[in-house]
Amino acid sequence: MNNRYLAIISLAVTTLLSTPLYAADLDVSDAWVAEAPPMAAVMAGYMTLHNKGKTGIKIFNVSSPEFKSAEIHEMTTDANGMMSMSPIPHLEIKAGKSVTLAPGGYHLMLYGPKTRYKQGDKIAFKFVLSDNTSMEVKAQVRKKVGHAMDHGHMDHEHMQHGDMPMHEGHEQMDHSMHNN
Amino acid sequence: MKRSQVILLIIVGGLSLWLGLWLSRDKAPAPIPENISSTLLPQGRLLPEFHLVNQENQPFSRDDLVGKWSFLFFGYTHCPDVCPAALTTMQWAWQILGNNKTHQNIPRQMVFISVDPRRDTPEVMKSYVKYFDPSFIGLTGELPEIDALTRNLGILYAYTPEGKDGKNYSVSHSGQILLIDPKANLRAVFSPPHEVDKIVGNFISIVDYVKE
Ligand SMILES: [Cu+2]
Repeated sequence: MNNRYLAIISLAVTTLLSTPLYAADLDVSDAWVAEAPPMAAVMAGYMTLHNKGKTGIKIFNVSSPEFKSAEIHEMTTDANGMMSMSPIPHLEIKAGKSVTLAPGGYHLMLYGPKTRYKQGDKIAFKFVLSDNTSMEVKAQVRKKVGHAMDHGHMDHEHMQHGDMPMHEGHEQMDHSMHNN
Repeated sequence: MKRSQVILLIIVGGLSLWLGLWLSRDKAPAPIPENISSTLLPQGRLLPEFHLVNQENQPFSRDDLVGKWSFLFFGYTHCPDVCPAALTTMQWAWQILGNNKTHQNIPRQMVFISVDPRRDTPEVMKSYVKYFDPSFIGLTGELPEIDALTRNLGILYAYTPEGKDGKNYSVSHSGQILLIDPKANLRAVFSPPHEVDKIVGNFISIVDYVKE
């Protein structure tokens, strides 16, 4: 066996060992992009990330062919009630833990949509992880719901209202109002 | 100080105190109903004059708030998270009120006011607010006019440093939804996080409270 084969085999082995490592440990669920008004110059993406592995995973970089650029943003509220969003250098998902990107908390900040994306459209993202590999995440565009802001980072379950058609939501709202 | 002057001072002081009490005697507000959880201004406070333009590039001033209840929210269209959430809440509130048997005929309007007029032209505001409801109003204009309102209403905003291309700056801002009564008085402040049923329930209680 000559050196060239050895090199190829060792490369293949390293690739096999390293490529799926972090990506395989990171479960992404309920990835969605909020539909935005026409002409909107920015959109926001949300999802839940669960790290089922034994090592912390960081997401260093987000990109999508559908947008000019993308960042990971965090919303914060200062003592005066002023709300700001600012880019964070990376998002860490600790071993065995979940992080939810949800309205009012973290979001993918998506600048310059290439076209107008509407409910039902699919958008692919590429995440670059801390082991220098990347993974693809598919998100669906859907409408924001009126509840969106009452849920912070943690309270993810209720976000499933998002799947609910509008009229159903209204009935529920009216109902809860009568109870007041 | 002479003795007579001291006596005069006491009399004047006493008179003004009595006058103050007398003037406020029948203005004493009714007790605030328990089911109101927003910040309520029992007497209301008149908004300052302001001159902005709506999404049709038509003038919009304080007079346009007279005769109906107005929900105001300050934000900017390059805001993908907080502003759409607040406007969606207003959209739902609008629709729920439209179906409310006892209060659906109360005159009201939903108003989104830009604190980023450099990017938010009337045209941009038009497509933005229309997305939430064709009846929604989007205001923009000169910064000093916007500031006249925000300062008076306790709304804060600040621009973040610009990005590489000079366009990707964002705007930090307060998240309250303000309720203005049909005499252009600030009546209530809803603080985030906004819940649509809370806003609708409070609105109905406040309308009934102000009517009494
Ligand atoms: Cu952002």
